[in-house]
Amino acid sequence: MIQEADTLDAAGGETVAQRHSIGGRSLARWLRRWPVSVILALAWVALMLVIALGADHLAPYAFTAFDLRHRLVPPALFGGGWGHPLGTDELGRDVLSRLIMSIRLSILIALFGTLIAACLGTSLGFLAAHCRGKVEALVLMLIDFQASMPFLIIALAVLAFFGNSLPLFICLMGLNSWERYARIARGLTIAAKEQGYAAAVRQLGARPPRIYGAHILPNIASTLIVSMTLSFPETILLESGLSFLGLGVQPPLTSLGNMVGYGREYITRACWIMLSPSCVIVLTTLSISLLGDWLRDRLDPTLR
Amino acid sequence: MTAALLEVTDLKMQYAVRRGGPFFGRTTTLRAVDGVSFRLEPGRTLGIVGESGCGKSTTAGLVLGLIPATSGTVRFDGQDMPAPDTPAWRALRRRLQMVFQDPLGALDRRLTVGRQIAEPLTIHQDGNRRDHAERVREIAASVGLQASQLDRYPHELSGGQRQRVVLARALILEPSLLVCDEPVSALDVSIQAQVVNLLLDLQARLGIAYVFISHDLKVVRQVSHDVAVMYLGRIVEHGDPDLLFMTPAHPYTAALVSAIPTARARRSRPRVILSGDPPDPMTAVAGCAFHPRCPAAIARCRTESPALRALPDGRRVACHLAEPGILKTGIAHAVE
Amino acid sequence: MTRFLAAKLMRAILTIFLVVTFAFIVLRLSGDPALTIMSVDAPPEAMAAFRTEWGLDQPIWRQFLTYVLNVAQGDFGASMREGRPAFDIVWERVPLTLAITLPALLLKLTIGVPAGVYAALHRNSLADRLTMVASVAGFAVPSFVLALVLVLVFSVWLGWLPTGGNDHWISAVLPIITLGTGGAAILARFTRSAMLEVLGQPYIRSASAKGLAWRRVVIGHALPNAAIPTVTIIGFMVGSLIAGAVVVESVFSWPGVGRLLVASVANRDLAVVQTILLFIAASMVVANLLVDLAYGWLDPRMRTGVAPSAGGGG
Repeated sequence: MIQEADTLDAAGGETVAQRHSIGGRSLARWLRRWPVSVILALAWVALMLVIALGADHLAPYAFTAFDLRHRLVPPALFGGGWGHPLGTDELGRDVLSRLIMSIRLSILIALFGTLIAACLGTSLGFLAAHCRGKVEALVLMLIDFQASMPFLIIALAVLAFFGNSLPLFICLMGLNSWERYARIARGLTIAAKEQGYAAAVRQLGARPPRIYGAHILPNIASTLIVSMTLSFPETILLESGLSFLGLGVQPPLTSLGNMVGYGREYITRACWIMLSPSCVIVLTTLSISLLGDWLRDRLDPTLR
Repeated sequence: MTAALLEVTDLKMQYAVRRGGPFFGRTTTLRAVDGVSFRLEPGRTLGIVGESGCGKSTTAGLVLGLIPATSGTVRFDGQDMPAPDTPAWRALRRRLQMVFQDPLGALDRRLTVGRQIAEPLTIHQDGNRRDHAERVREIAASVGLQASQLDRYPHELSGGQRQRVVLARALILEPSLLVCDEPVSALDVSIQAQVVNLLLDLQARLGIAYVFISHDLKVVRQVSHDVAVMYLGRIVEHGDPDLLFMTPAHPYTAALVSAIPTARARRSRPRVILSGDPPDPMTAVAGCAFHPRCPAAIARCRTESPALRALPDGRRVACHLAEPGILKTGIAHAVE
Repeated sequence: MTRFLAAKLMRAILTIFLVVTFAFIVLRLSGDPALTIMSVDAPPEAMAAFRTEWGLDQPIWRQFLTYVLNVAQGDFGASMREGRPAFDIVWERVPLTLAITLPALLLKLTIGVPAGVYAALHRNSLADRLTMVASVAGFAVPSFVLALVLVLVFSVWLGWLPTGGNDHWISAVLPIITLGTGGAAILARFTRSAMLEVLGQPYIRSASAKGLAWRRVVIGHALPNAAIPTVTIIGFMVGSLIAGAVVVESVFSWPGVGRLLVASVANRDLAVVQTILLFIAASMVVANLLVDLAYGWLDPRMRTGVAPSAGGGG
């Protein structure tokens, strides 16, 4: 990865000297310990989270508010006024406000989707590793099936057949890459059970809830979290792709992909409508991937 | 004779193994343990030796009830071993415990060793928090761990210390039987001696019985009151350790003993080199399981599988040539 | 070796069957197609006639059986919008999709693999860092964004290339570039990781310690071993020859299978969607088979059925 020399000590903790530093000097030193790219990525993600949480208060206009006198106004730095810092679209709606609401929706969808996938996948992985036999064979078959086709196609098929509503859509996003978690959970559980701490605790007389909850899950958590940082951007890309095609988030709701889809028709006249959500998508995906890579390198270099 | 703590009768464990893939493979039976019987009295040690694949670890699992046997019985303290993962089986864990080969693998690397030693108390709901702390300290002291080490994580301790932690965890509920599966194989030789002495010491003080499984004959000889030699899932010789190692009755035991490296330049005992490759446990062999590699095999060995017979000196041997009378001549010939 | 192949073939057939079943189940669960195709206030007789014509009034297991039998005979049903056989509609679009995905695949291979290998061999050099940046960008930039940006730059501002349609071969340039660069970046990253992993292995060090020229070490030892995991990714890309251009075709109005899929999803033309699903499943399955064959050729361990991580005895 693009990283500067990582000067963290082996245990990853602060050195005694740093703990005793005071004020600005310690802050500067602390900042210097982390690679620049990671700091920027973290800052961007923080910004996105703030926007997602505070969208209602941050948006200068209601995102559906028309203003037919100010249609297709370019952004502030390109000729338009500061009334609409990122310009307006074909119906005079403020692009900045729509962007803020879109960020919130896209991030929420991706977040729930990732959490659902992680829970579903981990549970199935545990089930497969615990029961073995036919149950495991069934789960493995499902994993194979999921991995055998690009999820976009499966998603399109489901959308074709079931139509589109937001809860359904979120569940669909929750099916994205669940097999990754299932594989990890199953593999690591089997390893733990064969000649490891899980077998030992079982021999002590512990019951399965204790074995899985108190021992196995905390040990595989870091691997799962790294996977989550990989599938979160994938989910954003999937959702925005589907919304771009008009098959994802439906109006009046607006998501990042949605905005790009609408902005496409005005690419010749008003390219800013499409460019701002595109930038947000790219920067967000980039930041989370960078963080994920960095986390993975920190937590378990042997995982590469 | 004191009532046996552990009584194993004709224990068999077979797996159906499919070779060659899910759709076109043939199914063969892997006999991991093929009719093993022994008794163990309280406070005594049974050593089990053999090469990889002979079924020692499977026997350990069967004795503890971790794996259900295909046939045969395991009786602990006069009662049949309950099926694994049942409440009765779990309750029995207070009396039966296991020590593993890889102490680092057997410990959860995210918890302090103190918490892990205390865990059996929590699982079996034995006393309250303060009692736990006290008992952990006590048991740690008796295995030679310092109180300060209780707050460390497994990877921060040395191999020998980790094995002590595993021992402490196994002993905290005061079991009557401890099954040790290669407990010192992963340790440095100097540490091995320490841990072995600790085990002997604990046995003397607490009266625990051990089933000590190893491929290292020297260690087994040191700790055992009784030794069983296993080959391809069967016991081929079983008896007093000194008798076994000084005057082996079974050709396989003779080969194992002669393979022990000696520091002296000239061997007092000729080296027996077994011919052929180590056995594939999946191919069934007619007659005696050892005959393809046995330097003393006769025609009868190829057709008839020998049963475990008692010898006058108290040992049991499974070999046609070990019948009283044929004993010395047959083996001496082969070994020369 | 034949046993190995036969097992893989069985698995392939099983996967296709699963896809067929999946398509059928989801389709039938999704509600009444009659309501979707015909407007809400169509008279009930028309609805009933529609249902009978399309066999929607039969019990479900019968419908499934009919469906499977039809598929086995090559009859994939008819498009509810156009009335023509779905198979024909999809089939005539396949060459158009391949016209952009095949060149794109070539682009990915010729740029991605060498870039990844080069980056791995010259670690931490400028080339390496550029490759890493490009590959991360390739992952982070979705295809529709890349497509639109390219359109913006090359069609709108520079006017060199058309914005879409397929009237002239030059309209294929932008779609091919869009598909190719994204995939090249991902492939470069994968190849780089695979090479790095292989280069760190002890046998590479011993090969060069033997006195073997570095180039021979790389070509003779490192590349073949690094090829093994890379082949999986390439296999996925080959399998996606039909499926991989959905978004790009929509952006460039390229009338291929992808665009058909999106339109059929929007119109809920179920037979066409099913047919496309089967086509895609078949192509993925064939690609997987080829990958398995390649594995068998590249990795001798595969041929004897020994798993790369066999456990020890006890």
